[in-house]
Amino acid sequence: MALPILPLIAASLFLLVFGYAAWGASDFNQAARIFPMAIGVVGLVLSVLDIVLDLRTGDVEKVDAPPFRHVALHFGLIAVYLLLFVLIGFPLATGLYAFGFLLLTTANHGKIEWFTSVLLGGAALLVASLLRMLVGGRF
Amino acid sequence: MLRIVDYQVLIEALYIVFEPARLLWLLVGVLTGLVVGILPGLGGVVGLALLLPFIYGLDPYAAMAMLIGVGAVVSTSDTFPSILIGTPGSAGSQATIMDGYPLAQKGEAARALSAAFSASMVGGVFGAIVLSLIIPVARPLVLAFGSPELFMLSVLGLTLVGTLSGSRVRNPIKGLSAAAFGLILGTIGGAPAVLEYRYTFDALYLFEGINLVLLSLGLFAIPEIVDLLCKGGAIADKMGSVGRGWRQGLRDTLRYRWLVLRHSAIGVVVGFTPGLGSAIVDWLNYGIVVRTSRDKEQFGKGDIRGVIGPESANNAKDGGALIPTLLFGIPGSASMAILLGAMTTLGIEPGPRLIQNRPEVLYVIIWSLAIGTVAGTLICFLLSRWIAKLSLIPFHYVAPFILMALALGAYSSNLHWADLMVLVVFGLLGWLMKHAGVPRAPLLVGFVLSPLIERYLWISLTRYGLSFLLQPLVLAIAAITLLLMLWQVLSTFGMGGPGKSQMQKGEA
Repeated sequence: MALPILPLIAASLFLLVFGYAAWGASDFNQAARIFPMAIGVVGLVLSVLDIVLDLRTGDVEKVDAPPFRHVALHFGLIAVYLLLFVLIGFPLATGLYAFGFLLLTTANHGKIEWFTSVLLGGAALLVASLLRMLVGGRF
Repeated sequence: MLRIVDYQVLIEALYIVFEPARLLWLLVGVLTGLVVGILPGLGGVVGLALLLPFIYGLDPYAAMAMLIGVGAVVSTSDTFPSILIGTPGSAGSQATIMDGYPLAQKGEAARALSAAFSASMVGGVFGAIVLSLIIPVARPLVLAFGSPELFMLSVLGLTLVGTLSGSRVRNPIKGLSAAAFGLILGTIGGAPAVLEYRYTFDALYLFEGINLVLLSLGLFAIPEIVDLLCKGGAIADKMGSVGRGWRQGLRDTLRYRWLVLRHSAIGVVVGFTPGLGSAIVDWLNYGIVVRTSRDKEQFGKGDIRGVIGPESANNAKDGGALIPTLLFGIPGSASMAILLGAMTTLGIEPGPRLIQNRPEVLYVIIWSLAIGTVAGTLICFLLSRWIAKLSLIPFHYVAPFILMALALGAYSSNLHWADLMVLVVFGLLGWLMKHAGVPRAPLLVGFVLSPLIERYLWISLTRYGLSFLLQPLVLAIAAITLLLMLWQVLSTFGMGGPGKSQMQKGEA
């Protein structure tokens, strides 16, 4: 019987957070403690119930999750874009990301579109520069 | 003499909305809703989350007009991909495919679109009218509610959202867990009752708590973008011509006007109930249209009633959903949670104080809903041929621009690099929740309600001690909440596997 991996990961994550919330609340003074502790305890019970149900039922209805490496790739690209944002500024990071992303995507589809990538990278750079001006050029 | 509507405030609100700058922001919201509705997979929540960062610096009326404008139009523009290419633009247009797409395949796409737009417009305006009529009627009830009643009502609302959201039979537990998780996230930062900072790990960044913009963008926008990118390619390889039949569609809506009004009313009622999202409104109304029609042979093959019923309902639901959000401060969906969060940020407190102190805000929202619906419909009619072609653009050409808006929105409020990191973390969490079958809407609702619930709780305890729980109305609401939770949890243990219909997809 296949284990429902993603639901178990989610429930376990919630269990950890609720456990920490209930335990961490004991450091707060009384007025600040009651609400998070109560929610933490309730959440713990719900998470345990959820894990038990997931394990009991076993193979849940299929979730159409894309292949993990594709998901990891796109999250990785988003993280790189945001890192570039901080390092080299919003307009340049956006232009570079659009260019590199389109090169990669079109390469995956079998035919690299250099012209389209340069064009859209340039368009993204222009639009980002305009938006930056609109918000007062603070970054 | 009982006044049905406070005309003075109504007219004052109209003047407020019709100031050119505010109309412009309403139009920005309408255009954003238009684009978001047309690109399948994004939905109104993403549109609201994208515009949320831009409310800072706007006056409250302009900001509300812009946000309401998004929601008013998504339910109209999401019809394009549903009818033209058989792919739902958002959760609220799934049922429209059943008869809209076959009509398009027969060369009657324009007729279907025209009927959908006009029915949507009537539904949206109907919802706005109901909302305006409900306010004076509900006012004495709302003003009679104190902190104990509001506390228990918030708990009931959150329970409803937690137990009814999503599509799987075990969502009661998962939904309630998500709601509790949102409540915990909402406690990060300063406590409302005392001077204490909670769960900050001594990091100054967390003293202000989690930013709603980051949470909503991360939870809802990033997972959708990543999934669309993983799917790859264009939404559709080709699309039939929109063709002719615009007038026929309008005649159909007129011919079935009672159907439009009936389903608009149902849409308002369902929208009023927390946790029943767009998908449920859509499918429920489609089911009712089919069951109550004498001649059913054409349903599923291109019966125009199968388009008109769901479309009028899913626009009317916006008016219904605003009732608990504005009058009681209880959002019934992720969209309403974002709206509520935005109102709090703008210094507008929903609930009794809004009705008493700032009734013009209510009517600004109503006018924005009505005007946004009409404007969005007109734009859809006028630009349909060009708008339709947007669905043919491969998503990877559009994605960098959406991510750009996302990054700008996330960074611009605090100018802190940690905002971008938090955005990615919530994006991962949102993706995990989406594919683990954990509904995300209860988390957002819980997060927005957390400080309010805690504040109501503390005021109640300070004034009445624990005896606040024994007040009649509080007891009644608590009993309903407990019964509901018990019923859902017991039915969960009694069932061995997935039980809800395949038709129910999408989240609140």
